[in-house]
Amino acid sequence: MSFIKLNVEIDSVIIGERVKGGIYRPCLETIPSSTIRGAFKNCLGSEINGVGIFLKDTYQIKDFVYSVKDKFLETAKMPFVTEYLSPKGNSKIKAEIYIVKNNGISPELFKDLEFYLGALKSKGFGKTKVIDIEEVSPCIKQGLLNVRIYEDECDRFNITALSHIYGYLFYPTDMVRGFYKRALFENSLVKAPEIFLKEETFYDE
Amino acid sequence: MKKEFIAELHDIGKLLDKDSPELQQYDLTGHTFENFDFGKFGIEKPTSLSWWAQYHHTIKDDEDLNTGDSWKDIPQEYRPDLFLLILADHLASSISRALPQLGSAGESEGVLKLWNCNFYENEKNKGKYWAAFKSEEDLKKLFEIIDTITSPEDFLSKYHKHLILTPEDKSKPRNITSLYIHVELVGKIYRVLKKHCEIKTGNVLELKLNGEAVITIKEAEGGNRTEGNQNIEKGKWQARFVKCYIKYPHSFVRLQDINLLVKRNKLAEDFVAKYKDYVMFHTSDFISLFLPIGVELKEMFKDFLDNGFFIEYIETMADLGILRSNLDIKVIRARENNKSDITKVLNSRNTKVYRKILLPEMLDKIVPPICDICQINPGKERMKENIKEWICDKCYEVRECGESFKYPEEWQEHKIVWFKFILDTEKLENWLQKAFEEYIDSLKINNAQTLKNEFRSLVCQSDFVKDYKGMIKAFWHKASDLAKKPISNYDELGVFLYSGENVKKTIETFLEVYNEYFPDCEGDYLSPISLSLSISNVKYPIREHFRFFESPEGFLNIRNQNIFHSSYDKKEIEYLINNLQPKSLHFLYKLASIYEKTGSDISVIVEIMDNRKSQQNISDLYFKINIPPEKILNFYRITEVGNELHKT
Repeated sequence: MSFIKLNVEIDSVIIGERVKGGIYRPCLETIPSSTIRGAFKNCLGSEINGVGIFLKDTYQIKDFVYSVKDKFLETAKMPFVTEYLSPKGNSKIKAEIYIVKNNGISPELFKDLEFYLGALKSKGFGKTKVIDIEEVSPCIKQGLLNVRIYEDECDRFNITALSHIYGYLFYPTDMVRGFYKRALFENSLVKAPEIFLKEETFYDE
Repeated sequence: MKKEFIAELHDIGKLLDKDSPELQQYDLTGHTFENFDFGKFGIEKPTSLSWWAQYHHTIKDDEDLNTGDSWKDIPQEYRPDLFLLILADHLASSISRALPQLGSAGESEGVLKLWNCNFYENEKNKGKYWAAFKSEEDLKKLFEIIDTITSPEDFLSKYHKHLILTPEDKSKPRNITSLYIHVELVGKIYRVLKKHCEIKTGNVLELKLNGEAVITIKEAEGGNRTEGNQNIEKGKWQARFVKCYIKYPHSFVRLQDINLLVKRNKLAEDFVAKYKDYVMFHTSDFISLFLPIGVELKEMFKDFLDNGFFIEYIETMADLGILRSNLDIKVIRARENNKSDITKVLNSRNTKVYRKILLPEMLDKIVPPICDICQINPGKERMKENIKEWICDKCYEVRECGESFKYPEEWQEHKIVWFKFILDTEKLENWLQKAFEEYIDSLKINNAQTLKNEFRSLVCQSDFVKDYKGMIKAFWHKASDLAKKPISNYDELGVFLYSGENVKKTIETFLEVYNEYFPDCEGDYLSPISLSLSISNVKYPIREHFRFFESPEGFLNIRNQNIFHSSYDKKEIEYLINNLQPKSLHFLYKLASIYEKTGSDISVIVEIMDNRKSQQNISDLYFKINIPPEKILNFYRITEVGNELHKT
């Protein structure tokens, strides 16, 4: 199975978990399939299946205080704090996005592409630029999963779960609605292309 | 009334001081009394079922329990108990009993704890002594006890102070585990086997486990080795060691949500009470189990799952002859490094290592809202302090249950420090293996590599965990005025009002108790024990403190919200505490700034050398412990009495 690998650079990004108690938004350190799907739908208008991994040591977690304005009532809501990933040092955050290669998607589509990833785009977060494109055909190995992916998308990525850690990812059905769909989370024991693994393992199946 | 067979009594002879002058006339050898001439000395021979445990070293592994010579003195009805006791004794020993004799490494009087080598000497200096029986009267009492002790707990509590000082085996290097833990584990394993074993009496006595009938110990266990050509034959009886990590997906939104930890403790206590013989040892988030094949883990952990906890477990299934708590590591390493000589033997013996996760029931999809806390159940809208929250019934119940911890009024608007002690059980296994190997090397004996390969860490782990719990209790004994326990019966977690002095005292108290309990366990990134401190404003989300606690990097981990986080070794902290002086502050700032700009050690060294006369103190510190000036500065700032952080 082949994947299109996008090496991307990001200024700073918020991929928020759900709002906790309304005042604090922790940030994920992985790019779930739901985020990739949303980003490309917005930018290219098509359904593209992918997952992403931030490269360690290229980012650090910081806090951003944000006060939401209720435009209808012309009042400010209680400010909330959101975590975001900020580049470490003077460089940019580096990430790898893997897209399932199929007949409908050409690597050319992503050449020098700029798009937005995650939340608070209006505040300048999430600006992402494709730097390099490769095609990869990774080996299938047993290991611990390093991404979050909808359970029903695992087949497309050649991921077979051996022992699941489930959670939920939001799945938008239109601009304002959606539901939470069961997903495979990090550290699930899987057989998968090695690019999706945190580490290889040698357990009995 | 027929009393139960108390397996814990099998090694009671190890509490007898045979070399005591009063006992010389008895000409005692070994630590069992099957050949003792009761008639000659006018001592009454014990008659209880437990007496037959004294024969546990006379039985030959390959002899039929019906016809074997070594079995002939044992009445038929008591043979199954003795049979199972021998299996349990082998499983709970620190080094395989099948190993060749060890030459002349000598004997030690008291137990040697790998993490506290002078433990026995220190206890002896306090007037304690390993032997419980030293005189003629004591000898008679020993035999009486075999008949009169009413339960395992009765024996363990009455002789606790001697059992913890006596080694399971005095010969080096087997002297590393206490008799207390050994007999406790033997008792547990014996009872588990007894419960699941089918005993077929009649003309031919047979013991069956999972449908496999055996008549010799060897048949049940198989060989005791995992490599080579000898002693590797497949056994008929297999069992499992299971390491269970209790995890939760919950995020603590409000302070009361840490009630989840109260819930976890309660569930763990109930679990250990219900399955006490299956539990080899446990901490608040880890349970190690010995289980026969077929016992359903999902059923055992049902209450945890019903309350939203995950159970991640590593299960090792193997012949009794090779089963041990660290076999999983050996199997995985052999596979990883393609060690075909080992994997071939392991495969031929159907050795399996699984990694699995037990999860609560989870829906395919959830229509919003989802629970803010557990994120695995549909949430219900709740209002508190004008803030809308979506919380499921289970999480709400946890939030509202019991007494909730509240910060004292005078802490409001100030900085606070949450801290947590952490015992990493994976690191513990690796550390014990390393410490054992160093011990073997220090003895300069033959068969060193074989011994290193055959080390069984279970008993040491259990001993270590007991000391860890003791250390935390000692910490709170000294620090009860300094910090508060948010959960009254959960000692690993604490919180206090921030001041440089309080941070310093907390760290000093930790070092004091650590050095008392674990003086020979180097406090570095390999240390199984660590302490993490998280400093923030009182309003900072509790969830984030716990996120920091989840992944300790070193021995002492300190995080000051939005300012820094650093990890320190024990040596570094001791040196910093003893040598940092206030007058060095400005120079430290300068060094930190140089380091930040240049990222170069050389620039820092040049600056220190230029100022070595006026900054002798910093110069010594830097060259002695060789850590970045920024780390020195951070440590200084958070421990400085009356420092600026507190004022803000």
